Amino acid sequence: MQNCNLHNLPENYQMKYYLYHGLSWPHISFVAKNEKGRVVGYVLAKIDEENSSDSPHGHITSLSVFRSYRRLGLAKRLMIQAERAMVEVYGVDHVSLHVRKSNKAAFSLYKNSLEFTVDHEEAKYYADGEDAYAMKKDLGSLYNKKPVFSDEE
Amino acid sequence: MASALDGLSHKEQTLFKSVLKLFEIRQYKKGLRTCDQILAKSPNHGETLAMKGLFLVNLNRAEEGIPIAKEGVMKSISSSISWHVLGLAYRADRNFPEAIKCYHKSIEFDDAMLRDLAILYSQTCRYQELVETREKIVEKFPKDRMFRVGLAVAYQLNNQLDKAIDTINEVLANETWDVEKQKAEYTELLLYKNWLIELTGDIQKAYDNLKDIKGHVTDITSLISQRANLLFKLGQKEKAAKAYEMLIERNPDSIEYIEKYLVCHGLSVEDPKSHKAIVEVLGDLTRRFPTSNVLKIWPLKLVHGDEFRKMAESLTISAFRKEIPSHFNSMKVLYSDQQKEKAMREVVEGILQSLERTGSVPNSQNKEEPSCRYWAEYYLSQHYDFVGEHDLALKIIAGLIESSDPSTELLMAKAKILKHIGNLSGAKDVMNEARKLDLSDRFVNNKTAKYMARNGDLEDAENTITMFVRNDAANKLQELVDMQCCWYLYEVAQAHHRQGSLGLALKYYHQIEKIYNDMYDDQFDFHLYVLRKCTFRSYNRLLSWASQLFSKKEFVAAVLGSIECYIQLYDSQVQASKKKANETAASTSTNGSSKKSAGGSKGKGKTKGKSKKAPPPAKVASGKSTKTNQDEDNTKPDFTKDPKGQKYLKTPKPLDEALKLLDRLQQVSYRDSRVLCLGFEVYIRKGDLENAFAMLQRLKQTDFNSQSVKIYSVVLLALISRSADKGALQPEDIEQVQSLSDEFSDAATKVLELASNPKSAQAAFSAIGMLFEAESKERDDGLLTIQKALELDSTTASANDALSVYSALKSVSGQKSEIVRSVGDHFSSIYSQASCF
Repeated sequence: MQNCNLHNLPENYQMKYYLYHGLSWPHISFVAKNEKGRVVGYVLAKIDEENSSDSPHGHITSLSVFRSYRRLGLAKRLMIQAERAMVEVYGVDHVSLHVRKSNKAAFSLYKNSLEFTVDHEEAKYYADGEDAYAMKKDLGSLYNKKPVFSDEE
Repeated sequence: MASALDGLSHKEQTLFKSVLKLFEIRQYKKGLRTCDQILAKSPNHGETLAMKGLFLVNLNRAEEGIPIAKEGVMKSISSSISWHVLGLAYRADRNFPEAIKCYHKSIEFDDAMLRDLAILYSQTCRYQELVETREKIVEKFPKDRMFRVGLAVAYQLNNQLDKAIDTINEVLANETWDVEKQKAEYTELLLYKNWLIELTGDIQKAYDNLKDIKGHVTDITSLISQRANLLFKLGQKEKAAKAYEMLIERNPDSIEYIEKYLVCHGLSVEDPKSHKAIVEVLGDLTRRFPTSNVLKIWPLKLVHGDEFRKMAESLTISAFRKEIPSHFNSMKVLYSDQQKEKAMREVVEGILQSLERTGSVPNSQNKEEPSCRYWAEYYLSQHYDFVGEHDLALKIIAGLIESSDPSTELLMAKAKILKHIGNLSGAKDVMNEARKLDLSDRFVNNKTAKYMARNGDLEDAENTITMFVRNDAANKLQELVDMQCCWYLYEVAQAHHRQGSLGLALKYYHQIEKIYNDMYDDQFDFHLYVLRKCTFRSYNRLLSWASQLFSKKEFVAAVLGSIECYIQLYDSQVQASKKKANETAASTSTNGSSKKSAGGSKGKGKTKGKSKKAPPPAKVASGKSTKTNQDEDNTKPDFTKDPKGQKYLKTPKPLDEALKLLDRLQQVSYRDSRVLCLGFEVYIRKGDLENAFAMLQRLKQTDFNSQSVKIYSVVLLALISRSADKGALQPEDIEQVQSLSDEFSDAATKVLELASNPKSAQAAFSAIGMLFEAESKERDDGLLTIQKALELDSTTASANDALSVYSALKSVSGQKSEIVRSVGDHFSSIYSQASCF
């Protein structure tokens, strides 16, 4: 996952940060692998518990897919897995993320395909001074079905 | 604490307290100064001395710091604090066994250290002792939930599963859980316990338990998947299949779920007889989950002939319509079957012909978009590249670039083909063009940097890759190192290695090793952290990840690179010292001036002939002093220091460094033939015939190229007969070597006879290097004969094979020798498009 992130995005993290996600919220991050078992896409997500008064909400730390594996719908699939797990395991009611203003492809994925809305803009969010859209998606109505083990005696 | 302050004046007591504080807030330099202030008045205060040592270790001066910390302990031998501090110093120096001993001593005087000790036992996988320590902690804090859970995990790691389960039961029974607030932790603990029951082998009990906890578990996916798993193990295949179906519904792209679903239906991918049935089941699933990519590709592995052609064609047409660039990547796994490779060429060529004639794809009346043809040609070019018909691939991609707007994808594909034919310079240029078309994409930026490094343009590579390093980073290269960008470090290390810059190659290889050490150490904080989060199933995955870490390909490759560099460094040191000895003998002028003149050359060995003695102490001292100076300024190792890798060039005993690394690799990948080959090369150079023989024996047991084994046997035998000292080698050992190398007449002739395969080229070149003196005519003739025997030409071997032969020759013969130049010319005439010779 680290290697994939380093190839795709300017925002990188040390291995420890990935381990931290994995041990804190193991259920909500996912990878996509190719036939050889190489990670070609991932979503790294966490739960924000900062405001104890607020109910916890999910946050997408990082999401990317190798250029050579785009147009397969991997990003969308990864996001759907993450969203569902956030709701089921942590009972979150919404998920948030930041996206570079210049990153039109990602913005369109979040807005059109995944139905996020722009919550507000954050000036100079990124280290290089670029502004970000803070986006948000209400998960209240999604994935609420509990499994039914109809064949259980 | 009171005892630690004994013997100090009031002012010094205050200072000592601030020392402890400074350590906590990581102000190591200031802490060091404060220690010195106290010691000026009370030079024998043990705790302060120990702290001084600890600060030094944290300032990367372990060599100084550890002895001082030890001295501190000697002066306050019954101080729990001193022992603790020495333990921390050892821990910071990654010497965990010694740290554990110190913690033990500390506990003799005060048991506050138990928790730290438990963490060290976790880190060093000493689970028996972990259990003992955790039991003591629970005795001391019987009410603490975290410690009790910690004991359960210790039992599990020590394979005392029943005790682990009992302990968790206690926790679950005694604790009042705020289920709303802590549902994630509660869920984790319940699922962990269920897993433990499964591990005991009582599957029915685990299944019953799962039914009991179902209502409390929020992690639905784990719940279903554990249910599926247990039902399957209980032989209830039908129910298990239903559970797997639910999982596939959640994630229809999971190979694992689909495979298990098939197995529940009694279908194994391994069994050709069930392929027909599998294709039907997969087809059924595809209709229900039409978005799945995995389900679409999978049947193609199992069908043949016309059926394959039909399915592949329809999938391919839809991929072209959807403009999916990765279609070839998905299909190429099928190319291991030659029939399918051929079929795919015909399918795509058929589509192209049909588009040309009618504007439609085969068996369709609809006119396709022009993009369909574009992607078909893109596919075909990748196809031809993959099967080795590079010229055709290049022609197609060039035509495509000319007829449509050049796109990043097309140029990247073209660059890749050029790389495959050995035109590294052209490949890098084209990749750079691709990059310029999409400056905001790091993927193509990274590819460009990689291609530049492959072509040896390291400055360009660094300037390119750092474009995506955050602007506020103080130093961009350092930032890449801090972000653990191993792939890049490895490419640069290899480029330096190829160019013969051993110091820099070693610097980069070693940095990768260091990053892996850091990753291993990253576990440290999580041994405690996980007790709060209760994510013990993930924690177990972390532990097994860490235990596999040093057998990862990237790490092994970097360490192998280092070993090769040390061997080459040794050879050049020996060569330089021989040369110097000759010069000294020739000139009767003053000794002093000749010493000076040799000073600047690289790898200046100072000993004569084959001696493996250490260089004079002065050199060791100078190497050490530069290191100390460097670290004084910084608490963190700084990668940008020593930009030429001088430190490594000055390695006094390269073979000993190589042996240390070899030892590390043998612990993890002892059957790796590359490790054994380099092991042989190191031991032979050390004159350790016995260990060289051991390597050879193990090499024979791997499936390694047998010609190389023979060549090494010839070398070993030749050296045995030359050497008066046979070491501990027994006559029957020597006989065995003899039988390995067949009839033995003349070593060199034998090596030359054996060297006719590019796979054994490295062994053969190296053998000639070992058998003959450097720069002798015999050596050059030998190398040239081997190169001729290999008979590389562009019809039998790829440019990459030739490049590896060429590199092996260079490493034995030196970068700029006459023979390297002539072989390079020879290769460039055969591989006319290659730029790498």
